[in-house]
Amino acid sequence: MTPGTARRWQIGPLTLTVDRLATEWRVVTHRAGDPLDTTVDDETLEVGTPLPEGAETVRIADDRAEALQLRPMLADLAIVSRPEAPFLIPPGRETTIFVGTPLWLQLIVDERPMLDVPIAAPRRTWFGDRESGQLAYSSRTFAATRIDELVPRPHRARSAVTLANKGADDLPLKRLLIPTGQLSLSVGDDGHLWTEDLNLVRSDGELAKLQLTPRASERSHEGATRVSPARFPEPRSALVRVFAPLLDA
Amino acid sequence: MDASTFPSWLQNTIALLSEPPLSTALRVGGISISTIVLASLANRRLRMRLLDAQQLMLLRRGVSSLIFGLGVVWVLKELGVGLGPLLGAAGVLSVAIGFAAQTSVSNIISGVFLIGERPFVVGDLIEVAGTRGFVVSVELLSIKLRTLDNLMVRIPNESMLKSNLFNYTHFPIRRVDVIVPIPHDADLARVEALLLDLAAEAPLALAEPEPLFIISEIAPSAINLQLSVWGLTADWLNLKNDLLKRIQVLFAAEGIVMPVPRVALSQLPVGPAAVDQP
Repeated sequence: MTPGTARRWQIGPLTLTVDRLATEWRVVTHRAGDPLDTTVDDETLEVGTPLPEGAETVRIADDRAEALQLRPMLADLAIVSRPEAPFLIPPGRETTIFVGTPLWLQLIVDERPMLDVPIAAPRRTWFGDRESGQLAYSSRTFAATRIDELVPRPHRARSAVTLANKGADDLPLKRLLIPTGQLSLSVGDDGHLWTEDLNLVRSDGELAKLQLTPRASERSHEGATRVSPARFPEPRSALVRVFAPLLDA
Repeated sequence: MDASTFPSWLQNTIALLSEPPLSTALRVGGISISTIVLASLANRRLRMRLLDAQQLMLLRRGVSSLIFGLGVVWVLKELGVGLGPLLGAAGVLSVAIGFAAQTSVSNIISGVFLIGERPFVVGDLIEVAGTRGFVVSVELLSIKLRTLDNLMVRIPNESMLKSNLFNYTHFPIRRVDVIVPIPHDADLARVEALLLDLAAEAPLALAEPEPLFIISEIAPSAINLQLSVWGLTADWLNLKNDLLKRIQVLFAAEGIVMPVPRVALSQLPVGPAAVDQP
């Protein structure tokens, strides 16, 4: 974008306007209307187009760069995904559910990340107990057990989560922590954004074994193109503490 | 090296310094200086990653006091002062000193317990004996608070140990309780839905733990509701202000009028006939 140009993108509920001025970038974000909106659009504007009410502006000093790139990213905090209806996994059983996680948009100028913007502003939540835990974002999910049950939305990525209950009792799934910081994004052959597969094995006790594996090719993901890396790469296999909120009992 | 090969002036100097009382003075001076330097170094440079600031302070003070004490004993020994009579005298003095210094000693012991128990750390917002402030320092005799209006308050450790202590910043999340009075004829179910939606839209409010709607009291002039919303401890004040502002705007938009105190007046008849009235 050369100085004196402006461009606007609409992705779902987010309207993003970028003005390239002589000495700065002016980034305006505005979210209004339906958070389930699936519109994807872009247009060229005049610099200084009036802003809608409620828009937020960020100004970044820069008098050199011209190349602007938009890249989808996963959230900067973990996502606590809560099924719309209670979901029960009997002992000794394994199931795979598909969940959607909200996306962020990263603005990159001359290959340098400039700004991270959530497409739909998620609610913050607490994962843990009242004495310790971590800040996360809250999300609702249908917990689809078939891919075709997923509603395509441009501002949400998809994750396949395999849950194996090796404990002695039922596992009621009330909420699930998606460690988005350790996940990367790829575009599958189906055109959707996918993260790595998550495999959770729950035994008796507090800890559950979490493993991250690249997307299986049989899920139309062969030859997947990596779009964005994980924010905080961690070992692919780890023991995670299963508080009551993680695989809620 | 043979001292006889030194120049004569050097030999004379060495001979002079080797004779008491100069040699004693030199040894005492050297020991004193070394003690002071070592104690000072221990007080400033001692670091242990496993200890927090208060525990490290205690360790530094203890080590430097020990070095200082050993230095004093060594100097007294060099001066030929017997420790036996001194310890005897100290035994007598300690009784008198104990009575005079019992408050200080109590504060010191209380300080050690406080540092070990760690009910707060430097930077926490605490309230003790009606005084609220940020912990600025934790010393052996007292702690120092900076109040919200920037006063410095010194609280003896003994008082800390005897009082109930409220630590507002110990846990990462905290609940905001907002009391909302509504008229007796308000639609409770509708108000509940409105308030819970409001809590869901407040950006600083956490989705979980979930907000609570409580009917707190049916008072003579109003029904008092309690809306409890969780947020990060650091956001507590902003969350509370935001909720109250939103409630005011919401009630105005929904036509919910804040109740006013009501008093029922009844008029009694006057005059002689009133005396016979029940």
